[in-house]
Amino acid sequence: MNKRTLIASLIAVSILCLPAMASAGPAVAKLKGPAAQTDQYGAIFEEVLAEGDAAVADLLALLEGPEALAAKVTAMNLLGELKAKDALEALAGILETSDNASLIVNAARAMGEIGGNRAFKLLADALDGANANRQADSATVKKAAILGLGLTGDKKAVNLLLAELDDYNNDEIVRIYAAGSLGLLGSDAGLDTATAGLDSADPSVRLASLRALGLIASAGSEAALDELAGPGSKFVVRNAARLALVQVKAARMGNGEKVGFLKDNLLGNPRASELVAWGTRELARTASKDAKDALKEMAGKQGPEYSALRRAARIKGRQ
Amino acid sequence: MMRKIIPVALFALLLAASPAMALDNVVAHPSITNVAVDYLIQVDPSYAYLGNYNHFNLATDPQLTFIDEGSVKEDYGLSADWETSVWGSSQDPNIGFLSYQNHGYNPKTGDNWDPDLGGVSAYVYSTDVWYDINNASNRYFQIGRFCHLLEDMISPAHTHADTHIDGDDFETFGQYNYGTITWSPSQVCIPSTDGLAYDRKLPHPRKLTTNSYQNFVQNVAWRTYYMTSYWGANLVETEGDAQPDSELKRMFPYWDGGLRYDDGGWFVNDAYIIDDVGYNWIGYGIGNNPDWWGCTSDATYFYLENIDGDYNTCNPSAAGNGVAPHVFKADKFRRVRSTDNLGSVLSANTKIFSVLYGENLYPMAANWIAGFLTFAE
Repeated sequence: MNKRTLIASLIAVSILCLPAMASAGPAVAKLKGPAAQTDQYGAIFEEVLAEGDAAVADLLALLEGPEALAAKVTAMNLLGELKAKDALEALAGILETSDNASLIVNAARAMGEIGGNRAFKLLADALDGANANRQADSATVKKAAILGLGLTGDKKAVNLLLAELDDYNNDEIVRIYAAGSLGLLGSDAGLDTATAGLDSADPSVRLASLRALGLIASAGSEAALDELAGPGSKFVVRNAARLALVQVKAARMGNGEKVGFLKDNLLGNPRASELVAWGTRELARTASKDAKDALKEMAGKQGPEYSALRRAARIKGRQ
Repeated sequence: MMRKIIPVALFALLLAASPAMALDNVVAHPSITNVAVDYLIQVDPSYAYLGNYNHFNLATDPQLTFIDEGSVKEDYGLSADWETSVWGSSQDPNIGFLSYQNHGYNPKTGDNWDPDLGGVSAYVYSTDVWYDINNASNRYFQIGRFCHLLEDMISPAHTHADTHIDGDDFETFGQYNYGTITWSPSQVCIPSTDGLAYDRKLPHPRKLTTNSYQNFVQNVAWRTYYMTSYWGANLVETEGDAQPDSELKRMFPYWDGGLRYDDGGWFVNDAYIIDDVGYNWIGYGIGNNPDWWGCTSDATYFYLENIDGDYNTCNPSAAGNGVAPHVFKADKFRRVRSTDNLGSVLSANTKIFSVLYGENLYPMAANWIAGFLTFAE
């Protein structure tokens, strides 16, 4: 039995063992089929979430099926949002065996969002495997695993990430991801690495550096971020720098002040995708009454410019 | 049922608060109409009598009779998108409530806006307006309404059925910068002589060279669609400078923060990104707000919505700046294909999209409106 077959078997077993399978609703089916109405995916996303754990089996089945990449990415995002621990083994299988970078990174991100000891263990194993493998594509798995480890919030990951940060055999972008994930875990050990990446000739490295600097949240980064957040920068860079600045400033605030700050930034930039994703996530994690009220207010905002924020606030406010 | 009612009600409220979803009715619509009428009279003085029906003046002319007035008042809504001090407040009974629900038309798919918003495509709706031209007592006002449809067909958002309730970069640019675009009509276009010839390698249908009112709509819509759909080949989920050579890649080369796959980092899902334009998301994740995407039922071609490089449709597009691709189609209305020699069909470019669009789409509208006037008369 090769590794791919083993993983397929694991997924199949996972599906069979899920007690909620029989009660799964039809929402996941809307992600299937050739029409792939991606403009409808937002609404479907909420429908699936409303089904809760009952949707997990169908989502896992979708990952194994012939569906379009967009549907599979959406399914993995849903599994992360549902904190579907039953999906961890299947996601780890995708992370370790897929040859598609999109499936690999989304699997790792979902695992990180699900979190917990099992997620940590599987992500750490994937990182080990990538280090042992040293194939050309192992950097993709390694970067994804590093990203996922940061999202778990598990401090046990710090030493693993420090090792990756200090390994100069790694691609620069892998070390920057280690820097960012360390930032998520409260360490600024990767500050110099992330800062240096801003000068890279590679736009992917520069963007990764901006994202990492936001997570490290060092006040010392503000001047560089301020400059990149200005009108001289291109749209994606400008918005990444603006998000990083919000993250840096929010990190210095107490929960009460932070909630108001995030709310103001979200309402002032309701179309900024990465800010909306991170900001609503932060409010949900804060879990204070003020944060819940802020999400509720944003979920009720009218006007087409608020559509992405409104949906994000509804989703995050449901918890 | 509620799913239908709520979007429509919301749509109405939104339009009442902020007129959108069309070229603006202050400058672009009436100006293009008048330029077209004046041009036709200039090249064929036998149409001089049309001069009695253009350049509407509220102080001296009766309402609901002029061509340029009809091209403005076709956008009837809860809150009229025109200056009543210039155009008066009378509304023609043939124009339905929220008529701009009928002004979208993707010629590739036949789609109008989001079906939940109601209405029919501009192509289908043109039959109603053509009927009114031939049956209503105020013929030239009705002709003006048809001119409005042709003018809307030069809006990329309309021909990609992109429901832009909150505004569109090119349309907003025109509202504030129309006068900065140098353009003039160059010919009187009619389908039989200027219609798109059938080409089995292109998606437009046969018989666009038959003179009919629908073919005026179709010929303008297809040209706009071809100009504003960019061939990107099959994008790949590989990081770095890995995308296949294409029109889109040459417009936005990797070294300049151009076309590439991006894993999304920690908090959003992955996407194909262009630093100037934004995100074309893969699947759906929380917060996703798309800036460009694959054309519906037209694999490997892409539509760029965010052509001013900002979320806000009023700034910087209002200021007249925006995104300038490194290259652009040498023949502006010719669809770039996978079999093309990209080096010869693309030319170096320094102009922003809105200027490229304005310089080519405004005269195209005027050319076909001039032709439509000869057809209708």
